[in-house]
Amino acid sequence: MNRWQSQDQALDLISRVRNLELKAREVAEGALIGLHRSRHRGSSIEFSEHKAYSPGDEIRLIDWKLYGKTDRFFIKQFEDETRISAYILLDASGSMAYPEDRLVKFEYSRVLAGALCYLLLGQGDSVGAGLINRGDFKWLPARSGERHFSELAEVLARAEPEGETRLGPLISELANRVKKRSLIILISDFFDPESQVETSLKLLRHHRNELALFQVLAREEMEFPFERMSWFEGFENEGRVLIDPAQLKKKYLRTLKSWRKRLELLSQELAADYQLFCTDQAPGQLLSSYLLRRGQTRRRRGRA
Amino acid sequence: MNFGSPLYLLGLIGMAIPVIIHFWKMRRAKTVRFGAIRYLLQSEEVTRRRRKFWEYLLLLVRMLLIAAVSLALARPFRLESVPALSFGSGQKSLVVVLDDSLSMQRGGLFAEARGAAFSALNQLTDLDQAGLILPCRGMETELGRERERIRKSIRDAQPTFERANMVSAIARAQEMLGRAGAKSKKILVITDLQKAGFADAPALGDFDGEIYFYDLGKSSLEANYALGPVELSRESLAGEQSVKARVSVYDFADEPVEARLALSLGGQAVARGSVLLKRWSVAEKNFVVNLREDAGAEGKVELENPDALALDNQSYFHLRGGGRVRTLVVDGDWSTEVTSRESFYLERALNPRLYALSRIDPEVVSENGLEQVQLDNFQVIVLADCFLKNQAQASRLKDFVANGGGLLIALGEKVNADRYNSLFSDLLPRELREVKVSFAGAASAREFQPVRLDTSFIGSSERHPVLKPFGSAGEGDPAHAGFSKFFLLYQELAPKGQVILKLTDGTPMMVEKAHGRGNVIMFASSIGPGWNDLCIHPAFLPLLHQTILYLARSLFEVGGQGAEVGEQVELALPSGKSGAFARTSRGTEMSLAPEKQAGQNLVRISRLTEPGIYYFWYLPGPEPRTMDNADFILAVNPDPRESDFRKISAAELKKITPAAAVYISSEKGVKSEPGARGKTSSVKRPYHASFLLALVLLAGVELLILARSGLE
Repeated sequence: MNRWQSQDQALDLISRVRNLELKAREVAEGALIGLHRSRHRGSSIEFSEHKAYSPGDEIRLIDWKLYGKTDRFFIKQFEDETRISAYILLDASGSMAYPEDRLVKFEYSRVLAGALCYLLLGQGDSVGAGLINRGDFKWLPARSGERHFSELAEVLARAEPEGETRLGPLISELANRVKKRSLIILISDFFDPESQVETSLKLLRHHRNELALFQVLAREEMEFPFERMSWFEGFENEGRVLIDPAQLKKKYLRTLKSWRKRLELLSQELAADYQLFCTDQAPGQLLSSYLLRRGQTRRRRGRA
Repeated sequence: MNFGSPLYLLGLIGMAIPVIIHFWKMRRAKTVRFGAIRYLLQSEEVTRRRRKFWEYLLLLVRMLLIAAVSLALARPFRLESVPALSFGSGQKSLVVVLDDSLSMQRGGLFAEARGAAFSALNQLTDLDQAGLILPCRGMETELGRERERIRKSIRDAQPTFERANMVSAIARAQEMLGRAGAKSKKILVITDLQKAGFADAPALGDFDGEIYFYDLGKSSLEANYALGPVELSRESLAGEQSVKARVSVYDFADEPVEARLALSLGGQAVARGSVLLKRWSVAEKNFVVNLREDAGAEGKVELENPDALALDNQSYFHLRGGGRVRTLVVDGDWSTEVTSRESFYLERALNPRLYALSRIDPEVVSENGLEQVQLDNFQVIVLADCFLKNQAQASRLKDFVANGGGLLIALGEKVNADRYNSLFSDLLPRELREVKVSFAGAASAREFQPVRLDTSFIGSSERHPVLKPFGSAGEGDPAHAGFSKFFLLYQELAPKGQVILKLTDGTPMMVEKAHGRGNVIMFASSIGPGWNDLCIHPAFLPLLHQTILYLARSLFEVGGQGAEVGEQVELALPSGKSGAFARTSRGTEMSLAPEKQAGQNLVRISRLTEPGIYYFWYLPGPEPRTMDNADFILAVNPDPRESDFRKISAAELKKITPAAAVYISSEKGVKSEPGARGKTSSVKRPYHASFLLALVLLAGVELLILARSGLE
């Protein structure tokens, strides 16, 4: 490779990073329009000061230790934690390369990941990223600050979807790395053996992490609009099969729907958020509705 | 398994077609890379076994379908042993009568007949004698020990279009055996036992041998329809262009049928129609055909319904004549007053302005102007009261006729009998004698009474073509014309010409003679009003037209001659003709040598062998020979009785043949006593119908699979 070629590649990368940054910002800002500022800015909260108990205060907030020492009722007052750690995990396996010629699914996911990074960094959180690519795990530790966004954007922009999806072992590895309780957002099509996905998500939840599952699917995958008899081939060496779409369409749609249903139930069981993204829908809009729903859910949980 | 048409077995290769299509579809399928292949594979896993099952089943059914078609077309049969004709031991003489009638042309019957004949010959020893009779062809091979000649005759034999007279053939076989003086006489009749072959026949004489009938006919009656000869008639006298064709349609089947008919002229269908037939009945169908001016053509009526024998579904007829006739009228009485010219009435009669149907184009010249005229441009010349200027003029006219032209000589005041006799000599149908002024039947010389035409020909089917328009009394009314002056003609010992028309006193009035390739008709009176009043009578116009068209060989001949295949035809040769040439519509050509019979020259075809149109030209005759200049045309059709496949019963057969023993053997074995003994022979049992049934069933199974599996 000569010098000029490497320069071209560098320029191409810079342009891709810039593009991604712009798109991510655009999506994130679009998502923020119409959202109210949340009372709770993070998932963890820390003790701030005591105040004297007055009727109407919650009994569970009474500091019983202090009552033991002073024989008076004091209420613990907490302050929102200003910074949380969030990890965006982007599935860059072969199946995300569909449709092959335009990479719509992966591009969509990449912009979504970028937008999330932008949003989280924007509110002062520290954000890390992980790429599941070629059965391997690429890691960028969580940091905060505006400048970190460019690093994240570069990692995301460099990624090319290929190789097999192995969510299970990689998520296990992630669980071991993340020591602190964090928000983990998983962006994938979840085309992985169901049991592995289930086990690894439970492991993450077991470490008291908060989970959000973003499933990204192409319209063709959701509706299977094919008509002519064709050989169907996967991106991850699953083999090829001659199929008459007319005969198999119903069965396929049933199978896919049942997996999505199961994923939704699993997310409910793990108190995780689940959001389906279809590539022909605007990501900002879906993200916005997700954030709104998440805020409402958290307030309900807070009151409970 | 044996096959009648084994070539169709090549169709079994076609069984590979569904497999090829299957693999071709697999190859043609495009590759689509798909993200959610995991769920596709899961879904496919569940249905794969069921789908594969239906796919392979469909493939198998389609392969079997092709195999069934191929096997059905190959006409499979199995050979079954049945009691065969056994001629017993000891020295014997056998005559094989092989039915070669039209009905044997159906369904490979004749091939089976040949097989049976060969099989019979194989049973004979070297000491036995054998002979062969083909009844329709009239071919006989005398008894002898040489087999090869008989085998060759059997191999070469073909079924004819004729009706066989089986009884007379058996009688001939009996005679043949009687002549040979053989001790053990046997006759083997290989036939479909069609009733018509034994009809109208007297019982056979005593015979001290045995007669074997090998019955080839099917046990079930095959439906067959046939046409009788087409009868043509003119629709009206004036409307020469309209012809009515009437044809009889026969239903020789147990079912009624709507017979679909098509009439074609010159190979082009010009009319269609249908007629409802009751079972075992005959119905008539009429067509009215409008003819064009040049409508001389071969025609046929065709029956379009499919049946057991296609050869009897056509009936041939012919129409001839047509085209415009260029006629030169030579007026010898060219007076300055137009109405008193001899040609005045003639020209108007030949092509009257209001009579648009006339096909005659007359051109009038004076006798002096004749020298300037190119005679080859005309088909007919009319000499109207001409003096005959010189020998050169007479020679030109003689040459014109000798080369195929027609000449009508009308006499009159200018004609000198001696001059005509010497200058025309052999051209004249008869020599002129003298002019006679008629006072026939007058009580006294002062009572002038013209002589009338003898109209006894009216209504006669034998009347000359020139007189055809006068089919019944009143039509054209020729009897009213009176002749006051006319030439008497010499009687000749050996008359050169034929008298067409005469007067009531027997005086010839129109005489015809062939000269070279052409014809001459002489009218013994004037054509104008001078010597008779014919020209002002209605009969004048049709008579004159018919005469000119006849001389030009351009008459529409309808309802003409017809004959059946197998008949003998004799044609009397006109004087000056030395033979004839015949050609059939199928291209067979025959030169017919003259024969003398009862002082008359004639030509003969002893047997009309094929249906179609036969054209005859007398020799010497016109060249080239075309349908239009043929002297005689004959439409030949098969006898419709030959299309009736009903079989004679064993009891009826016994009545006809009181031989010492009669055996009837058929596909089903020996039917009547005493049964054949000893040897067996193989009989074909076709079963292609089973494959056709399988075909239908498989097609049904395929539809069921397609409906159940959703495959394509």
